[in-house]
Amino acid sequence: MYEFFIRKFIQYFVTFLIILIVIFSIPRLLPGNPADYIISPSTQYVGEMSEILRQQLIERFGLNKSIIEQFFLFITNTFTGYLGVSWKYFPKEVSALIMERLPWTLFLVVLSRTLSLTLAFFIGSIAAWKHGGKLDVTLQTLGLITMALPSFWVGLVLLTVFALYIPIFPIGAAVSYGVIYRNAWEFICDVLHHAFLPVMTLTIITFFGDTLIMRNAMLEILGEDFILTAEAKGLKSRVIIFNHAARNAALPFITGALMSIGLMITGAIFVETTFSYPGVGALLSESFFSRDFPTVQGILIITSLIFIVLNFIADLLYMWLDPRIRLMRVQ
Amino acid sequence: MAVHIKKDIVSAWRQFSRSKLGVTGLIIILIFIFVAVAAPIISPYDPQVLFLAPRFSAPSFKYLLGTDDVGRDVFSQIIYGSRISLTVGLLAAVVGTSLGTTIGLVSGYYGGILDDIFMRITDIFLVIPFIPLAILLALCVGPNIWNVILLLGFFGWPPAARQVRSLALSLKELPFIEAARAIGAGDRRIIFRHILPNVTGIIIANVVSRTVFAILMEAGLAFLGASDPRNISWGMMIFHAMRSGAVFYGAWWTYIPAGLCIAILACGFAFLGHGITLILNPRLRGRAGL
Repeated sequence: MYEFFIRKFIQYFVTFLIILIVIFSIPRLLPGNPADYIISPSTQYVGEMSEILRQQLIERFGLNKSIIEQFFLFITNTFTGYLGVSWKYFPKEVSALIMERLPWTLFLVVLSRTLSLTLAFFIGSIAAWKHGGKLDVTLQTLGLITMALPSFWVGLVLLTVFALYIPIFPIGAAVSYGVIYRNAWEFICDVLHHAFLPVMTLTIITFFGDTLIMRNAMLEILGEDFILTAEAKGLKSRVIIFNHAARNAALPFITGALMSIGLMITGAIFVETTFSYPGVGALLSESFFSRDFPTVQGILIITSLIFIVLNFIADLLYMWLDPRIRLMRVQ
Repeated sequence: MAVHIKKDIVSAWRQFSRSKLGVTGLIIILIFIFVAVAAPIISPYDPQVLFLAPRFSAPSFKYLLGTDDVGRDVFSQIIYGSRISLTVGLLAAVVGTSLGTTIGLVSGYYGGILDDIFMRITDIFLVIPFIPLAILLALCVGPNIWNVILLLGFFGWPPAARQVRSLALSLKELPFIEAARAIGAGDRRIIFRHILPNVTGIIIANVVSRTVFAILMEAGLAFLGASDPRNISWGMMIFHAMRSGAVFYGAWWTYIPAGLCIAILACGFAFLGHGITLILNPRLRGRAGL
């Protein structure tokens, strides 16, 4: 058990280090000076303060030192949460900028994942029970179609229909501009009102795929002997589906779901850009336009880290939920 | 041997043609390939000519899908856009799958440390967030269609590598491989003459599913502005529509048809992939006539 934990931890830690090495080498393998990427051009224009900041950046990233020293400084900086200074939001630190935006992205992703997975759990179970039926065939076809839909386009269609032609939802942003809320409830309503279309977009894209994953996991379980036993006992199909089969099918479903949160963060990039939602995704496309290298790099580091942590948790959860592995420590 | 292959193809086609979705997908793809090849003949205008008509002209008989923010004909842009999506999608898929197949074959056949190393690298590739990395590279190298293809290809190998590897692992234990070795066939001959033909199905299925991925990713990168500005692609049309405020102008024709094309083409490949899985996985056959 602990051996498993430590082995996985080391494996993912090494993975993260390798990703950092790749990220570190990108600006250094290209022609030109890495300092041109790391130091904001704003430092040339904005007063005396910026000269101090410029010196500070050269110091902290060791830009006048050897490449090996630079690498160790880069690693230490990353692990202490220092990712440089943004170009666009000069002189704001990249890590502070990302931390400001990250909650919005997580809010969208977690909300849409919860919605999609809860529905998929039930509908997928039913589809598997009646596999080959009308519901099942429709779900499979829709699964293939939604897999091929570009999320930003789905977002734009929803935006056109439900924010422009039938203006019941706002066209963008996360909260109304310049509104003073009388109480917390009003604020929550406003946030949900703004989040509705982005969350719907993400959910439409993933829901049918999630349903198919659940359906396939269920289909495998339904072929097992204990289901036959349950049927022979004359149990109601509802009891068999949810009390016997779905519980067992949930294991691969939950771990798959956890890993998909990572993928969804990339999916959120497009949706946030479409709805100008102030999350990390919109920050990424903004930064690309202002050629804000430190911020793009910072987002890459943070999203890699989130991916890795989620994969790690999924591995642990899989182990913990599977009694065959969990009970090994007793022996 | 030749007769054998012909018989295989005929029986595979018979299986495939039974899948309605698969055939639909194939037809969609063929139509788009025709459009891409015949683009100069079909398209009514040069897609790059500015101010053919006032900006955001609504669809009419003269301009079937209206004009965009700089007065270019949207319909012609859509026709030329099919070239980019198909080229990027297919090339990236071929690059990725060839890489993956080679790695999978070597890894599965030789096993040992080589296998360990390759599989660790695959694990690493699976946790790198693709879009942020592509954006970072586009920022440093400048957006260019070949970079997009190479990057998508280079990132597209893990699924193929994993599947080919696990099949190669089980194939190499079979008697016919031992027989080949007994006659004195070398490793290279065994890999390419005996194992490779047996993983063709997986390779084809992978090319198809990678194409869906590559088409969507290219469209996504173009939508973020990180694609080659010299070639009009469907994703880039949507990007321009967003940037120029076409959405608030009510000019739906500048982004709805382009997105629909991405979706239909990607669907075509997804359906084709479904039809192919039907051939590869006999257990799924005859189920619900999909």
